[in-house]
Amino acid sequence: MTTSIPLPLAQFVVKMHSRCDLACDHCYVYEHADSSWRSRPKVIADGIVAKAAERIGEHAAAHRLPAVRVVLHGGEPLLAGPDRLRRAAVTLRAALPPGCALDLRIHTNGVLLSRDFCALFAEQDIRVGISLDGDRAANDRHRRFADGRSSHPQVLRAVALLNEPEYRHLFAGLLCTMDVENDPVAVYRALAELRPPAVDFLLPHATWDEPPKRPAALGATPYADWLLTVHRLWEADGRPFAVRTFESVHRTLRGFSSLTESLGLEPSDLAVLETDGTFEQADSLKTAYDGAPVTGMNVFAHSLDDLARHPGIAARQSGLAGLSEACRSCSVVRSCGGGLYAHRYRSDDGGGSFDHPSVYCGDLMTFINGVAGSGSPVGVPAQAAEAPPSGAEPLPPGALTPSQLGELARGYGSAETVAALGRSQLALTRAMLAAAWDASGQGRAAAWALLAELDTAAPAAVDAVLAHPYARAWAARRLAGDLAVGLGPLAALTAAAAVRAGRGDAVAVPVRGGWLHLPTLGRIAVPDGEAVVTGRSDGFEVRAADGSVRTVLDEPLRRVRLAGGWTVALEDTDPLRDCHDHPVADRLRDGELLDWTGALREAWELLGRDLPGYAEGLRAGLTTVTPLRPGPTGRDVSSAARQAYGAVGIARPATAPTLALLLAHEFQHVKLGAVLDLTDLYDRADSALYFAPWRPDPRPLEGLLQGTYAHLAVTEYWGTRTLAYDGLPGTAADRAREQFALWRRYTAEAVERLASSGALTGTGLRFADGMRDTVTPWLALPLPAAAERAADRARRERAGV
Amino acid sequence: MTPVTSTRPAGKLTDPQETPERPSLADLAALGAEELASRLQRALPGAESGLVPVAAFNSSI
Repeated sequence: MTTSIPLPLAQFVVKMHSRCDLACDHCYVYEHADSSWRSRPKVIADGIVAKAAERIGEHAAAHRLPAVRVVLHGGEPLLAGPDRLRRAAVTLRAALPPGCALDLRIHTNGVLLSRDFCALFAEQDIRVGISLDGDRAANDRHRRFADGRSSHPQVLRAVALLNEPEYRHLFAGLLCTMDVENDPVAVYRALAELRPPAVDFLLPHATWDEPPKRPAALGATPYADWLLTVHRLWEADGRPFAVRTFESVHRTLRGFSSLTESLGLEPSDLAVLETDGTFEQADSLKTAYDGAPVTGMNVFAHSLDDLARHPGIAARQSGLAGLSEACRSCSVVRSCGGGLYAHRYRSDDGGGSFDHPSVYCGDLMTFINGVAGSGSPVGVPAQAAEAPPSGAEPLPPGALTPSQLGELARGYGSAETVAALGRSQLALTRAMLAAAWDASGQGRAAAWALLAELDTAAPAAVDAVLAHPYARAWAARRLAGDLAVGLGPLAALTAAAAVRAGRGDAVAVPVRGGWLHLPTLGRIAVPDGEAVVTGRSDGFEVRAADGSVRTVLDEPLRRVRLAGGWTVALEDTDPLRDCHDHPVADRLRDGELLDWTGALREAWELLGRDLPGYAEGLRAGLTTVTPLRPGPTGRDVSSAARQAYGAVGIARPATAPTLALLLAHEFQHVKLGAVLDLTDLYDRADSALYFAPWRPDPRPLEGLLQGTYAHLAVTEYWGTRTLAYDGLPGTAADRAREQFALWRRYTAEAVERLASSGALTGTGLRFADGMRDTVTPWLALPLPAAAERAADRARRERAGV
Repeated sequence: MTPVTSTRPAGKLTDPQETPERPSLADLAALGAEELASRLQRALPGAESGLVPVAAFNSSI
């Protein structure tokens, strides 16, 4: 009996309503083999949603899921009504454990979408996907009301609503079910005209028992030909929106994960909850045979761990081993993954099974080879488990000497040492950028070609741009398969390099939302479309899509130059800066800019005086402060992002000393993240959780390590404040002594927890020794008994005792 | 202390490269994404969280 769960479930489709207000003749729910909808309640009961939320919350907590995705689905989910949808959203969100994000979506035919629904979705942060099969003729082929009327006007009205500035952020994209008798050019143009952020083209559901139509006049692989036509248009237009299927082929051809269950070998982590509370497997199985998705489980009697062990779900988690023999030996199997599971079914194999290639096998092969042939040639990826090739040099090369690592282990880092981290980070960003571009299928080839040319001809200009913290953040998001970011930022990086090089080079950059952002420089208000940026010896020229020309930045990036040689950018224009786990502030107004510059000046003076061992490295490596929105009730908010070296996000605190503390604290995370990019300090396979003395919840080892490293600086901050007060009375002095008593003990304890964890590597143990060397002398500094008692009280309060 | 709106880097644009062995972007791209990713494993997103890439539900976007 299986007792372990192969993979926790993290995607949940909740059927809010089992009926639909359209009668599309290609719908898998009502028109295909499965007929279970007839016996189900029309609408899901609140009690079922509440129990499902509880199950999801338990599952997320037990498996420490950082995020779950819930799709409100149907039938037509808007038929459930706004009140029930609101209650479902609130209930689902409330049941998740701290640290688990909810990606909540609704997928609708759009017919009922109204301004009131949009307001509800904005209130509850629900992203909206809409089904639309293309132009009116294409959409009318299947997507009609029961009386034969077209649904096209209603759907266009829904999309127009989602394109209003107030709701645009809710617009997830369009799903287009293809029909080879529809004109692919007309379909593509009609969808592109609606400016969706993303589109996916779905093969109509079919099996070997019920094969797809293949009109004789359209050749042997009409579905591949249709998709390749759209792919060519999409490439020619500069990829104006994300297309999950196309991106998945480009990625899988280069060894990366697919972004859809219809392609690739990634395991399924999906469960479906029907309106009667039963759990089902993937929805698309309804197309195979009556009852195909049934699990025999329901939300009241079974946990999600029970469901994850269901053989039908486990079967879709076995990658290559779960495919038919013919698929396993195929050269494109890493890309097609055998196709959508439901499309493999045939009943005439002696019992009925999915152990077959997809009924679309020939189309998938032609399509994948066609996409591969449209860019540079790529080799067939290895089909074995991911492993670095033997003898391959790591990138970036190990750039730290033992002495530099020792400095960093003690919490510090001279200008030279932090500069070495910066060089290794630049090398890393360059390699990640190249990987992200190649994994995209080498899109925006002209922009990349110019960047590569400038890399040789004007390397300092390129490096100045690629050292920007959010250059790596872009590459990281692309490599992770985040479809919300396209290749526009790559073109923008090239444009900024061209401006800095000033050689007269020009590059096209897509503009969305009315702003053209040039990383490290600022942004320019420009109409949407393709703008051409030309770097001139005396500045730049931007020719917008409407032919208008601009030569100045409307909102330049502001840099603050401080005494002692620290120059730091206040980043409030880069759309990619939103990676610090807290909402970012909008463009700073003049008064806010003055407040920031004043606070930075004071904080920098304090750091130089009281924390010189930290200030030197900070001056060498902290290039960017990204203002964040204030936290609730004045709580200090600050954050570093592993994928954005050189930046910290901070909501400007009430006082400059607090800003100094936050800068020192967050830059510790920045330094340690850069060290971890170069060196394994702990066993990355270690799955144990560890309690940090200052937190009630256990965390993975890296969390404890990061926290301890940051609190080295916090301890020294309060230690030097305590020394400065030198026994003086007063509230501020008492607070400094209490905080010092608290943090020196916490930090020393945390170092010992790390050292005794059994999970540190040899280098990691030496790193812990370095941290101990720094914190130990602070433990010997005598403090008044009152400060120690106050620290004891604070510890008890934090521990909830 | 003055907020500066310079569009120029601090160093000269003709500064020599700091690391002579620095591979060009073109050379890096020629390695291909799969090869690069295998060499960058420690730093790639998700590596620190242990996240497993999974197959996204087909019937929503």
